[in-house]
Amino acid sequence: MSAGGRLRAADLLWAWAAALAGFLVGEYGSGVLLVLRADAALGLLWLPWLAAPVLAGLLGAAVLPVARVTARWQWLVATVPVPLGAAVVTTAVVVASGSTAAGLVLSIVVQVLLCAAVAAGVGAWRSARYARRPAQPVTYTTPHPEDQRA
Amino acid sequence: MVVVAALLVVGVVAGVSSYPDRLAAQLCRLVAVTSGSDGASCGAGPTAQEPTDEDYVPPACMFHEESEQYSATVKVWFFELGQDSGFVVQEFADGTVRATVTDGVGIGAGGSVTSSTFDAGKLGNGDNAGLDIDLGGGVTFSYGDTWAFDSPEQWAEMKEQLDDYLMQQEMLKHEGGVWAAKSMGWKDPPKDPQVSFTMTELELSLDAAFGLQDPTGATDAAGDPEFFDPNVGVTLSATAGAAVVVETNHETGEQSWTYEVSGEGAVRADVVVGHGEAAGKIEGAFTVTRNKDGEVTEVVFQSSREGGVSGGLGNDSFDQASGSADHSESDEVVTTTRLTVDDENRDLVDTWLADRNDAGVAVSLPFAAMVPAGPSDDPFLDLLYRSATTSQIVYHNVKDSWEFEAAIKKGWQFGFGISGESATADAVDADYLGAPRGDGIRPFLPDETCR
Repeated sequence: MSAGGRLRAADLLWAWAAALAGFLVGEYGSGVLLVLRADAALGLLWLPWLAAPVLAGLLGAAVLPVARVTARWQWLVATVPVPLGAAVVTTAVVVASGSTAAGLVLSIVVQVLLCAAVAAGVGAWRSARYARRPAQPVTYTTPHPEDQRA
Repeated sequence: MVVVAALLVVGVVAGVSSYPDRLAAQLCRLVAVTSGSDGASCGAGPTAQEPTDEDYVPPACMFHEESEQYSATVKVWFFELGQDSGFVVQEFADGTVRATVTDGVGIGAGGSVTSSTFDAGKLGNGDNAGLDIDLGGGVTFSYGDTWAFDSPEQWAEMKEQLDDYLMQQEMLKHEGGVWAAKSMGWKDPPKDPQVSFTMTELELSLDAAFGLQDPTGATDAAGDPEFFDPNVGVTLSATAGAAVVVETNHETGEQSWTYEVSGEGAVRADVVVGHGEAAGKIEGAFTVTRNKDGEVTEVVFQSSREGGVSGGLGNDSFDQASGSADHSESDEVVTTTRLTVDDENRDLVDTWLADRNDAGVAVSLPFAAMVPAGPSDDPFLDLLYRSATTSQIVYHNVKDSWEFEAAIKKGWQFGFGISGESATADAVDADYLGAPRGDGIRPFLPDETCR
């Protein structure tokens, strides 16, 4: 992996925004599908649950500047906070409504792990591609006279 | 001279245009006198103060649905989730809807209501909670819980919401299902029912519905104490210990007590000429409604009897509609007389409810009250004559009159305007008592809203 520089806060914010967008699209996009196929909704319960963290990890890791990622854990930092935050919101909704959701903690753990795995996978793949790129030349010529003088 | 003649002409024209009905009536009487008749049929026509037929149209007749053969008041919608359960849905002609939850037992073909659809024994009675209807997902209602809606669309919305809520609760049972539930839109639980039913014993209800009352001291043929001892024609008795269904509206605070009563073979002879079978047992129900302050707001008399006679029961104004004796024996006549009680007539109604007859202990409940077609010397009966609405529905060719009458009685217990198995009759005639005519009689008129 290239040591292109430290991960900037702006890069993290950008990655979180992308991960959040992915999470919402995964969750509520699946919800639209379930509403349209209400007759089969009970058989598709897993879709919003799993699509959300997968898309979050995918998008969050996709927008992070690979040249600035200096450690593998940075892929996780850029994505995992989103399912964690969503878990807080979901738990609050369940509590506020007085409902009980079966296996809520286990479901949250699965989401976080899934998001982390996808982000790590995408990050590893992007890092590998980045590593296969030809190295930049150490010296080069320039048509500008001042550079030549330098 | 010309001026005087012109003024006379103008005066006559103005008078005719201003009072055409009265002038026509006077002319009619003048012709009648000169021709030797009595002119009794020459009415002066209704004035602004006189009630019209529209004032006596019964409220909210049952809805007539095309898909059913008659009085299609009821269809049943079942949940697939939870235990066996159902809703009996009444759609009325004014667009309002009432939905009552049951355990789904005893539903007839095509969703019709049968005598076993409702069972007052499943209601709570204070000591027992009654039957709970568990729809699943933590949604539990009491047997007989009822919702009222202004339109079928509102009922459809609630049904959809209930469906969604139950679906959501089912989702929450599965791991990860909370995200599916959330993504489909978080659903609120169904609203509480407006109306609930409980059961009490006759003796316990008398204080609440009538004021302090005692048994008459007499017993009926079965040896049961009589509580109602009408002073006209028919003896109505309610079996001691029999169920009295109490309907409570939680929004308005109103409570209604419905008593099942019956008259046995004492209908006036002129009612049953040519219709011997009509002299048999007449089933009835009497309902008293009081508001949250305990004031009487409505009294309702309902009766059901077999026979093709259209007219009064034990009433001086009996008028046999068809005049023939060839009615089908399976025709069923259901009559509902409803008196709205307000501040103007409440004292009279209270007095009547608390009245004792010569024996000193009875409530007077004349069967004549069922069809108040003519004026009466009795203040209460005259009040019914002047103010009550009366609908009479004839069900033709009822195939199973026992089942029909049983279903009708069950409907009364649950405050239904009418009910019955749709497959047992093939035609319905609906009439109501119109405004008093010149001879003082309120005639039966076709009720187009019920057809």
